[in-house]
Amino acid sequence: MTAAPGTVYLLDDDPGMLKALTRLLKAEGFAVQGFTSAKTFIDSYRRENASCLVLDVAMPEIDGLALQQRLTHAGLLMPIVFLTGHGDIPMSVQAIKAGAVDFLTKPVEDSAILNAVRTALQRAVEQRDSIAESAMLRQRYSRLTPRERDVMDHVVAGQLNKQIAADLGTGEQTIKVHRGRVMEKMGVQSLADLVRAAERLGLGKRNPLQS
Amino acid sequence: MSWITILWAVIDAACLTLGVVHLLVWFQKRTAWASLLFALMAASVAAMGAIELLEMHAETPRQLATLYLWYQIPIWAITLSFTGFVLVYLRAGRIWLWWVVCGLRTLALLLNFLTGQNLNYSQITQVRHIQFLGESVSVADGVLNPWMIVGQLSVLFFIIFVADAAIAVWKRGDHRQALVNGGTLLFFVFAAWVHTTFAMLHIVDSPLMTSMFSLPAVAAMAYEMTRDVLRSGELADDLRESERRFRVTFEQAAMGIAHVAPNRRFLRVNQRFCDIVGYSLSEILERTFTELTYRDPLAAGPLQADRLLNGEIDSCALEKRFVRSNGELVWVYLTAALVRSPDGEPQWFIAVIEDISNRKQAEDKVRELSHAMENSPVMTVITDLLGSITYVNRKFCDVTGYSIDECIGQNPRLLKSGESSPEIYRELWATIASGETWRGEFHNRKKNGELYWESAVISPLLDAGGRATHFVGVKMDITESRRAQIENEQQRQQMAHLSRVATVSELSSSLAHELNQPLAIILTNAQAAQRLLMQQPPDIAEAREILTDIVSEDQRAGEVIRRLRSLLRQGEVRVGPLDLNEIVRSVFHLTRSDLIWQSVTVHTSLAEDLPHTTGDDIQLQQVLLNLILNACDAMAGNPPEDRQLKLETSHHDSVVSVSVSDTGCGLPPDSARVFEPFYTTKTQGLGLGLSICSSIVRAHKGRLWAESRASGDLLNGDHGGATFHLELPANAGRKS
Repeated sequence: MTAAPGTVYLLDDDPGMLKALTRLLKAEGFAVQGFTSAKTFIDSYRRENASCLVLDVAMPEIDGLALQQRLTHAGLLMPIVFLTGHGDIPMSVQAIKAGAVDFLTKPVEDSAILNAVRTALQRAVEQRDSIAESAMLRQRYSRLTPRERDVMDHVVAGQLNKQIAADLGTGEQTIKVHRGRVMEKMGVQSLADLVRAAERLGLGKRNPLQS
Repeated sequence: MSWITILWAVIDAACLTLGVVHLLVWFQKRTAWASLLFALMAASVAAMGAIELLEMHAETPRQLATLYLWYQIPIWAITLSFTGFVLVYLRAGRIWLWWVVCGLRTLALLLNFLTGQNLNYSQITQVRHIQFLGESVSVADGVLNPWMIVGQLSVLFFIIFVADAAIAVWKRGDHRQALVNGGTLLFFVFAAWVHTTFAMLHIVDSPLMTSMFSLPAVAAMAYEMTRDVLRSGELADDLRESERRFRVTFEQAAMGIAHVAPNRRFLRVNQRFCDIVGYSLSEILERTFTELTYRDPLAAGPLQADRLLNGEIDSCALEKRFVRSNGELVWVYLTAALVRSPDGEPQWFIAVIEDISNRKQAEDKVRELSHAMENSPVMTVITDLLGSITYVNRKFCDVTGYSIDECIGQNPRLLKSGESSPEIYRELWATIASGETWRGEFHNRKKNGELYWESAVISPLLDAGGRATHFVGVKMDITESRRAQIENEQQRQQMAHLSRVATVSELSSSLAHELNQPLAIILTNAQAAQRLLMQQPPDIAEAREILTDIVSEDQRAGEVIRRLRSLLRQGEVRVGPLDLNEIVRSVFHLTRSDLIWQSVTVHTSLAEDLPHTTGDDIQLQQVLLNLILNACDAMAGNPPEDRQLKLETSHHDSVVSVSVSDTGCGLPPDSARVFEPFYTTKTQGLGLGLSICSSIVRAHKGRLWAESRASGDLLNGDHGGATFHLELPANAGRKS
């Protein structure tokens, strides 16, 4: 038994379906909360760690895909497993592109839904971790001086110290010092770690030649 | 003047007077032979009386002989006239006896002149004077002529002849005539004969006085003949009265009467005849019957008048037309007879006419009507009050196959097939017996056994007093139209079914979902149960609940299949009491998934205490299904939050209704057109759905109509759209 840490939210307008899924997931040790409409779900949702959503596509008033959009807009990156009575390809593509973990068609095998839920919870954990790392990197990056940020840009762009010194109009030695300080402030041991951190911060897309 | 002279003069005068009277009668009427004979007889008696008077005063035997000689002539004349009178007047006496009498007398007359001095005496020897009636008269003495016996025989046969005739008259019943004429004549002839014979033989002393004996006979005859004159006077009076009656009858008769000569000229006509033919009396008398007659160019055959003249017929009666003076034709009923003289010669026609123009017009009317009835394209049958057929028209025979003769006198149950219920007949008789008109349909049998449907209108025929005299049935063979109606209905059912199948196929993904959902629930539940049972300890309580849920989900799937199957069912209409709310629920159930996918929000408002209606639930579900799917289509272009559907049931005034309102694009300006076949506003679709719905509702005696809403009606939202209303008659009883 591999109990996952987060809650599984179940959303299906059919009470019978909701009940059956609750039983299955609970039998596997998941913490489950069921809702028969998106409205009640939204009203009672509390942000918490590493939860996922099992969502019926066809529901009155607010359907599954609409709810997914609303969650995304609200910045709630909760992994979603879609369930549908009659899934078609465009619908599933839309759902997956919008970040769905899986798109399952009823009747669904227990292993399939359980795997999907595990995956979703795993992703929830990963998302939670990734969000925490990004926040730390941004905090470190904010401590760099403008001169250090310029040097970091050139470093992650793969330029040698000499080239950077020429570009910035200073001596090679000075660049070396800045580089050491950037490495220290960003808490990285190697150039590869620094490049990865820059990518996480979204700096990689910037073309240093144009700035 | 002596008594004798007076007596004999009186006899002569009486006889001559009577004789002259009857001679005059004979002159007036030459066929009155009895009068002539009587006159001759009276004259003879007068002559005989005169000779007797001379005899009584004769001086010499020679004078007496001469007088006796001439005396035989009146005797001869009297014999002939007496017997002739008997023959002619009494119409009796044997002809051969008459010949014997007359022959013997004529022979005696001849012998009178040829033998002796006369028939009685060969020789009169002297004149003897005897006392008679107080004075001296002459009688003859002499030798009797032996031929006198011929005269005696003649008298004897005379008596026999008269006696025989009197008996014959008596026998034929004329007792008085037999006594007065026959008896008197017989008595006095016999008396005269005896007296004369005795006088001749001097057995009595008496002059010859046969005239005296003849007088009573003459008087008796005169009396008879006078009676005849009196009777003829009475007859004349009668005749005048009769003539007057005839005149009055002729002139006042309600019928036209004419006497027409054999050459067709009018002899006599009455006023009525003039009125009918439209001519004045004088105008008619200048014309002939033939001139007035309208010659019907179509009529042929010999003229009835000619047949009357030829003696082929005694009388005739016919309907004919006269041409009136103004050129119009007038119909008359003519009876005619020919009057002939006793010798059979045609004298005149008697023609009696009656104006029958009115009757002819009525007959024409009747003929027109019966012609129309006879050629009418509907069957007509008339029965008497007991139900015996008195008339059928040609169409009736054409349809049923029975001939007129086979129908007349029969009861219309001849056509009964046993297919129509006895209540129909009971109701029919109850209706027409109360003087009302009955309308209905029969399933009858033709002569060849074939069944046919007829629509009948049966009514009593009333007389002027309002009493039924006959029953008239007017019927139409509606087998064809009924068959077409049935075929139509079948086609309608087939169309409805096809449309239903098409509608259901539109719902197929929704229905698949409705089936899929319970299956998915069952699977998930079952797999959850497997896991629960593998736990240590197994969760039996939860597993038991799961099984309960599995059963109910399975039932839910079964219900979907049942509904689907009944919708797709093809077969006869099952009419029964229906709850409109139940139909709304049922259809809503089928369409729920579809509505969800299409983001349609549904509001239902079902009236409580809704009366039942009567009909086929599947067909009404089909109607509602169509209305709901149409509403969804109408709202497909709206943003999801503007897709609202309202289902509402209600009832008022023995009507139950359901309305389907949407917030869609509304209806075309002419909203009634949406119910026309092949009219569609959709890019896909045949345009048959609503037209079939409409025909289903009509078959349920209901009403289906649509209206556009400008805005604002549906749940206080600011929406346009359409509302479809379905109204059905409510059952009398309230929903229990």
